[in-house]
Amino acid sequence: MKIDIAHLAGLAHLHIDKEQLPQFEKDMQAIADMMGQLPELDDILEPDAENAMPLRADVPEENKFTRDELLANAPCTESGCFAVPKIVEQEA
Amino acid sequence: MKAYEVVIGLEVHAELNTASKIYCSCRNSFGGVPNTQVCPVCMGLPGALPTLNEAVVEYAVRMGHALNCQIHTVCRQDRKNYFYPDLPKAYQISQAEIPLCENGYLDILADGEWKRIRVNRIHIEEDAGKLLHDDRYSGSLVDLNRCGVPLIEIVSEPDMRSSAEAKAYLDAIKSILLYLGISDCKMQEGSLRCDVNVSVREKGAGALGVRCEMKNVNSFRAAVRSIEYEAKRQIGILEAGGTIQQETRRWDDAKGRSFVMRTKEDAQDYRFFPEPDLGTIVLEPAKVQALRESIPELPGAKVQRYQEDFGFSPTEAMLIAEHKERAALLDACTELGKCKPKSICNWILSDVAKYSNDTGKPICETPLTAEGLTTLIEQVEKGVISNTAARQVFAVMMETAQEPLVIIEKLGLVQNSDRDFLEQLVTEILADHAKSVCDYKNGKTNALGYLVGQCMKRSGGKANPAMIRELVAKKLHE
Amino acid sequence: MKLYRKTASELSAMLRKRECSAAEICKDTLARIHVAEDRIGAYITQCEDVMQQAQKVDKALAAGEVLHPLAGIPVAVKDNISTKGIRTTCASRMLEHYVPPYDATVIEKLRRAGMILIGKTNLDEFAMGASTETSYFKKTHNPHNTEYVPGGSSGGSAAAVAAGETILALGSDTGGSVRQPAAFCGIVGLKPTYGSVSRYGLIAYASSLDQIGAMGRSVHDTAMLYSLICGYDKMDATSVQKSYPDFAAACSADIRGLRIGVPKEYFGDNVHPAVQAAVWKGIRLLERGGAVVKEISFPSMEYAVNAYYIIASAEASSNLARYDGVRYGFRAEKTDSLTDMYVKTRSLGFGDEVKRRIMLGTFVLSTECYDAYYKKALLMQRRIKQEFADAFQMCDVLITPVYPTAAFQPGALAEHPLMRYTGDICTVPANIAGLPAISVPCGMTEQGLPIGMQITGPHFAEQTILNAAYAYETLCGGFPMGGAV
Repeated sequence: MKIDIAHLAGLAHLHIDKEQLPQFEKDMQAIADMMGQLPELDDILEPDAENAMPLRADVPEENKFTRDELLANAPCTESGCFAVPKIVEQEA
Repeated sequence: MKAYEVVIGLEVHAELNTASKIYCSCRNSFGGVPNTQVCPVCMGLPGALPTLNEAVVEYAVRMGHALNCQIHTVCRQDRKNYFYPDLPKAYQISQAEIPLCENGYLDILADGEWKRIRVNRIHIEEDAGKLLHDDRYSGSLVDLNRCGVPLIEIVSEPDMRSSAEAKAYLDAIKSILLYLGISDCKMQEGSLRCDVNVSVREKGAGALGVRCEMKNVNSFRAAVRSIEYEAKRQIGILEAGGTIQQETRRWDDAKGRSFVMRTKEDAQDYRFFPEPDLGTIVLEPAKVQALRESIPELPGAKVQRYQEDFGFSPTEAMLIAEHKERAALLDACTELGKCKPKSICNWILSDVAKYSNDTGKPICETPLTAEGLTTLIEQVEKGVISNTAARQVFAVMMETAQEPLVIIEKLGLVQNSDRDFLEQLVTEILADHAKSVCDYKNGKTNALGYLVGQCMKRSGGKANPAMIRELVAKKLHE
Repeated sequence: MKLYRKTASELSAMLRKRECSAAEICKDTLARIHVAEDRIGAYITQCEDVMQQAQKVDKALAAGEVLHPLAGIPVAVKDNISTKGIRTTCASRMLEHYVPPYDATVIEKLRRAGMILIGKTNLDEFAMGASTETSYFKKTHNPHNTEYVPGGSSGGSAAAVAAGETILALGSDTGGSVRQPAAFCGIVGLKPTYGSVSRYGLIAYASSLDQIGAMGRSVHDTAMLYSLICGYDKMDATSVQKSYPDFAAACSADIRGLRIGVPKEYFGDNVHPAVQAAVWKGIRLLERGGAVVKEISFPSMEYAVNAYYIIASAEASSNLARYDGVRYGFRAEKTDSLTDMYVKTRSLGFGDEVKRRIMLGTFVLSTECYDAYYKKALLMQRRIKQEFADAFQMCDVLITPVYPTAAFQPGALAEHPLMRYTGDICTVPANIAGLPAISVPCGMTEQGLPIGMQITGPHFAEQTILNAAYAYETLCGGFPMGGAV
């Protein structure tokens, strides 16, 4: 299948420079072609019941972290919140 | 203009009132100082992993039973990928291919008719955070407290044909959630939200029309308004010879209209795939059965029982049944067997409901007990006190939490049913109001009511009104 | 005293006999780092409190406290494992200044055991690579010949162990990232059964394949570290509830009757003759030690790499979406909208290989490709699991090469983009199937570069592969700590 870098970059919120595009396209197309070589297996995929997970009991725990600790790595904070550029509704 | 039919499907998101969040042990509580109810897991720190809360699965399965769904005892969770600042991992853990519950239905009562609405699925997922806006700050602010609050999404088939049916469906869903005690259903706090899908087609047409999805519908009233608006909009387009575009629209309740959010062309590719951080959800059949048995009698069944056993009208039955507390009170009262169910119904829908509304207190927070209410009604039915007096007693009961019999005694409200005394009283009144007697005899029949009223007045409200009426009538015809 | 050249087992015994102190071990190791690090470049961050950690252990030992056998032993940790208060970068600009507020479960275990955290080691950015060349910060060099790469992605950990810059190390293995650098650097690397070591705190590349592994200079050392880090963790829903024995204590070199399967598909033309010869020599040595060798076939092997890259990149595209500059990590400056901030942040924060894999993952999960790529890969994964299960009916372990070649020179992979991926052919099947596999040194090339031999076992058969590896180590006279540095 043909790789459309611009479309994929858009979905992944990445930008690939124009001059880099041909190389990316070539590399990724080669890999995509390789990955595409998988035989058709007429099996159905069902969740693996043997891979059952234990569920957590519904018991709340007191927060072990202060807000400052959790916000310490944020590039930009304001009034105890993470701050981002103004959101325009259309971006939802 | 041609005749059109509106086709409505609803997606209801209900926040579950579990003690902890869906994928971490943070407390699941509304509000709070921003970013204080968060941990590495729900804020999506690198390396943090989700663990599924058992109660979320149980609550969802109970809702599935309540909506007559098939329960998938082996299912998984999937990631829904999209970027937004309120979604810390840039994916929402949800369920795509196999939901916990599927293929159910809900019977609703709309315009006096029962109608079956099919439920496509119920799945579990996590809520996102909130964006705040502060006038003092030029950007947007992100509060992650709500991240990981458990949600169930209940998706209906497009089986509703009017805003009234949609309203009845939403009322019924809300009522069931409250009956099961799995959600607080506080719309103003966003714990119950819905997306509305609307299409129109010519009456009798087989295929469904192109649908539009409406987001940001934050109340049942808004749901009704948005459906009516959208149906009108679509019919307008069709009547003008246009075609409907499939799109997502945003409902603006203040403006009373909707706006395009995105068209089909820029529909998002969410790239769902199985959540690799979680194993398979496997439910033991015995557990599923136990959850089924934990379902209380639900409003639909109650309505039918009230109609069949007690002879309530459908509306009366629904007004009681959809209200968990009213139904609980009615059931407790009828259980005591001291008075007629119909009288209890009347009392609950009038004085009790009024008191609850006026004070804003749910019934369980008032001093009212089934014992007290039935005792009071019993006194009326036995003719010991009048209805008017009973209302007075009720008011005191609610204020002082005293027993009705004690209040009746204290206020001296026992009705006088002594025939000799009452005959004497009637004779006196008729003598004092000769003109009215004369009027009556000349055909002015409403003079009877006036004379009864005078008797009641002179007795200080204590005379048995039924007996007074009988005696006055008898004497006038003598 | 050159304590840094000793194994953990030796140092543990010496500590208990008071022949050395933890402080001495650490001092020696730090001195070694001082000498070697310039040429090796194994560490991104070195811990500042090494001596304090050591003194704490010495105090406890002096007080007669019963400590874990690994107390006082230096350990290096791959820089994609979260360490509270120590920056954890994933060798990416994106996390250059990120300091986790919590410890990964494995780190809690190391600390509780009294191991000495020496530093955070270099890797390919977000563990995506096989040479440690895609690190944003630095190149790591192979201690056997610094002109060569150490392998990857746990290249920093492997090089540190091989060069004596630590005694033990943790790596992570998604498609061979513990075993291949172990092979390139001539040390032992264990990729455990999926679900036996908690991933809580391991910064995800591909969640269903990632597994933290142990690296050391001897099989026993590696077994000791694995015994410490394995076990059920309620914080990781994919971790498996079972009892985990002391693998080191139970190590046995008696392999009489051990059935060794040799799948011919792992010895194809793409595998260098020197590697083939060295691995076969190892197999024959085990045969002389009493093992039974049979050649078997593993027909779906040729598809393992395809399935692996589809699954790994799909999960990576989702796992790495959270790096958006909002809550932590790098944020691009001068952006005029939310979307602009996202795109600039991610484009400047990630290197090309990471971008490539994110976009590949986005591709295979997109609506048009899901069935043709992702779903087929999951079906192939199931078939590969089945073929392994069939193979393990006939034999106890499989022995194969770890990588088609010995270490290569920097830039070799850049010239052959496909080679970046197909080189993983021998290691990815174990990840696809969730099996335990260990890499042990089995000889050298003419250029003096180590070659690795891979021993793979059924789920939770760590003891079996450790025993086979231990037997091999015993039969060949041990793994010398060689190298140019």
